[in-house]
Amino acid sequence: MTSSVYPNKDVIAASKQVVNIFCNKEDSHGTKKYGTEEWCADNYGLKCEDHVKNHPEKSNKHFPKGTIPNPTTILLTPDGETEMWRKTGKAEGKELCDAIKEAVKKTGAGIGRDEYKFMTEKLAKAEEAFGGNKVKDGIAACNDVIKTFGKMPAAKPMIEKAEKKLDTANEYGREQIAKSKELSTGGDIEGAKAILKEIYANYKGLDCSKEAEKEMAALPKAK
Amino acid sequence: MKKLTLATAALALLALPALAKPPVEVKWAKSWDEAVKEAKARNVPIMLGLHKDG
Repeated sequence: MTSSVYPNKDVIAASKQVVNIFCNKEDSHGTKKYGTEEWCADNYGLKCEDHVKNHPEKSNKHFPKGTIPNPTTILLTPDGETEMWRKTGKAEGKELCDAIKEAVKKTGAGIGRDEYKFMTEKLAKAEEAFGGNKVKDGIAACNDVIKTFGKMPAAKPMIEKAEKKLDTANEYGREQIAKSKELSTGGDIEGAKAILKEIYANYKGLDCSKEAEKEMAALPKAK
Repeated sequence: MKKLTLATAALALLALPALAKPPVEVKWAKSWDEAVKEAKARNVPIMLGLHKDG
């Protein structure tokens, strides 16, 4: 299957609708460069030591009586607890694609591998940007997730994560506005203006940016 | 020589997006825990392949 079924373009496309885990006791495949990544020469995404480790773990669970017919392909529910389909012996490309399609249908709305990768990368980028005080980039990354996948029901938890990051940034912006008011009341108009300018410019797209703009217009003139 | 260096640099820059593109392969999770975590987050089934070489 490694050389004939998995390289099949329809199988590759179907595999993006599930999460794949490979178990093989052989540790002599060597490594190969896949773009900038280096993995097992025969299996993209993991190293020999990983699929060797996976083998007894999964064999013991799915073949408790000891004899393991190789190859065997099993489709499981997302929690990994319940078998949805099992094929002992080589699963041909179409047979495997049909089984995946059926399992995906039974599971309900899900997120494809490419979409999930896009969202997780954007959320990680947002995290890094907010942490590094690159607020504009953080807001843009969160908005990319929301705008691209806002209508995908299965993406709701990811959308909520992006919205939460924006809410946190907005809250911080408002705290800064409150700080600027204190400065203004104490007579430090220039200090207050500097804070408001920063919030207005870097938090665009969030309510706090508009609020900072209003507050700036309402500032008394510095003496 | 300078032109050649510039041309090489330009070619290298053009090649960058191609290198950054993910490979067209079945991608395998590194571990069972990672697979379950991702499958739950994506609400998708898990495909488990048990193999031996040869």
